[in-house]
Amino acid sequence: MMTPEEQASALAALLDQRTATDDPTLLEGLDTEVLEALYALRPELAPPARVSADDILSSLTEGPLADVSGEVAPETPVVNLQEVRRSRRQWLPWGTVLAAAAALVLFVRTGGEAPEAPAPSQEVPATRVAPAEELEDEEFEELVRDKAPIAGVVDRVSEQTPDAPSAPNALTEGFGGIAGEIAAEKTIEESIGAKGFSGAAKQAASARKQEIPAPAPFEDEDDSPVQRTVPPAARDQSPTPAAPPPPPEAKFETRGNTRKSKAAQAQEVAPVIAEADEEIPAEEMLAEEAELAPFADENLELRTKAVVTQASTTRAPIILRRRDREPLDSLNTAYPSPPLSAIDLSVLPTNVSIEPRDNALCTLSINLFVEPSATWYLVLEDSCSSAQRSKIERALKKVDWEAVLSDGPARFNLALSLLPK
Amino acid sequence: MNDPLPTADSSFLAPAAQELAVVNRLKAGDRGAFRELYQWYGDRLYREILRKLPNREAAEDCLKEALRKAMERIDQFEPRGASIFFWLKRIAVNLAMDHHRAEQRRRKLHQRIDLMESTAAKPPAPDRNLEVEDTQREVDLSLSKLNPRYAQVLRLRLIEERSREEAAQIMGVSLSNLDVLLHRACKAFRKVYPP
Repeated sequence: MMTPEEQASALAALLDQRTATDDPTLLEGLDTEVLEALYALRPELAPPARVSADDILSSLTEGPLADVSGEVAPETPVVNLQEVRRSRRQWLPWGTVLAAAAALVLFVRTGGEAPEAPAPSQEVPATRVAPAEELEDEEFEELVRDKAPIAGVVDRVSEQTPDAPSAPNALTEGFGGIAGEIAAEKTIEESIGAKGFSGAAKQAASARKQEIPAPAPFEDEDDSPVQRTVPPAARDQSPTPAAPPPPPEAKFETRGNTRKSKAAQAQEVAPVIAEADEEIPAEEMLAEEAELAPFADENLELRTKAVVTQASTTRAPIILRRRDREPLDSLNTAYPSPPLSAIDLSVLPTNVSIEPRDNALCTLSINLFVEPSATWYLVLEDSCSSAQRSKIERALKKVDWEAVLSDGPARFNLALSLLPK
Repeated sequence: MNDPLPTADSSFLAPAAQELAVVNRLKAGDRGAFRELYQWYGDRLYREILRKLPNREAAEDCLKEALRKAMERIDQFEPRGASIFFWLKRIAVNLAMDHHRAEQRRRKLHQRIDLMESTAAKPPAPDRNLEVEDTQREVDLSLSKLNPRYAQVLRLRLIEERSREEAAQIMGVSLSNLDVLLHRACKAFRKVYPP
């Protein structure tokens, strides 16, 4: 500790330098008050700021210079889930009417002559959306297009019954897609816990359930209650770490997918990986419902960012990895332009982790990646607590994933913030 | 008395055409352009902030925050013939003032608490509600609250930048006495600055 006289001498020496100094012998001995008075009156004598341009650049969160690993990720408009739902609700009566009409047509057809089922190895003709063509109804076409993402699920469910193709396939074909899709939508909604189906759709789904044998349970070490659809032959080749997706064992049609030509719609679907929902005690469920109430649907704001790749590994609280823990960027290298293909929505709400961040109740990023084999990989870091996890899972079940994904690019990032009102 | 503020000095500014090119690159998302801009004006801005916010850490935080805000809103900047430096400086100084006001409020609150706890009558505090934005006026105001000898040595040595010998001669003291006087004056000044 310098005496006041020594400090006075040091101050005089500092002033005589007439330039900025970082000399610790000069600066450390002086009282803070003296230094601050000096900086206020002679700021040019202060040492340079200990802030670099890169520090500032890394702190940017918006604007053209914001860090997205050097690339700028254009932010797409916010998806207003309520509007999407309202739009869907407008279509629902039409869908119900059309489903009933299709069921009637089927009933007449199956009563008269049974349709020929294609051989299992035969490539499925791309013109199976018969009623759409017959009716030539623009609205119907639109509805089919809207339901595109779930078509693959329909076909996968159908695929579970290769030994008895006539009944379920006839049902699906006879419905011309729409009734089957609604039934499949029911399956999806059941799996993700969503509600809001019409009575007709429920009847169609229940009728379908009775006719289609239940899919074989997933036979791995994970006792998942989630219904997973895995081709029997593919089950033995479930993905292993560092291995590419297994070769396809079955052909699936993705009807209604307007992104592809119909001939190209036959997709290879690898086993879908899903994790089990955690068992939550009833009291805890109630408590969570109460907690979730403040951010019901109208408080959920879903933002999508197009083509966020490496940024998600550095900025997002969740790091996307494959099940084998291969980082995302290597996936991107391996599959630079994966096509959008069949989507199993049921895996989405069960593979999410979450970390609280900033002022938001929760902030999370979900990275969705579709590989050419049409397998979704959504495996996240296990850093969240079980309470956080179950909370966010339940919140995610309220998201209209179908609407979100129906027009999404093949690879994108969804950032979801649950903000209090 | 010399004006210690370098704002009138524009010699440090980059050529207008060069600056405009950098601004356009910034708007296009070129991070290299920001590094260039920071090299030009970062230090200058820091020292402008230090005038308002003499604490080094606070000034650095303020610099970082000011440039972050500015770069996030770079799309809103329209040159209109003026250098981007003045736009950045305005943001930085405003932030520094906000910081200072917050600090002042905190200080006032503490003073009120002290006053309530104190039984002895105290002389009225100087009017702190005066919103003086001009740094020179703030300095003058602070100096006016000091012992005249302290104010004089600060003016001579730090504002007018006279040499030790010259200042000692004007004040009629020895060199060592001048140094001690200046040291004490600095401490006293910091207590009243910013006002």
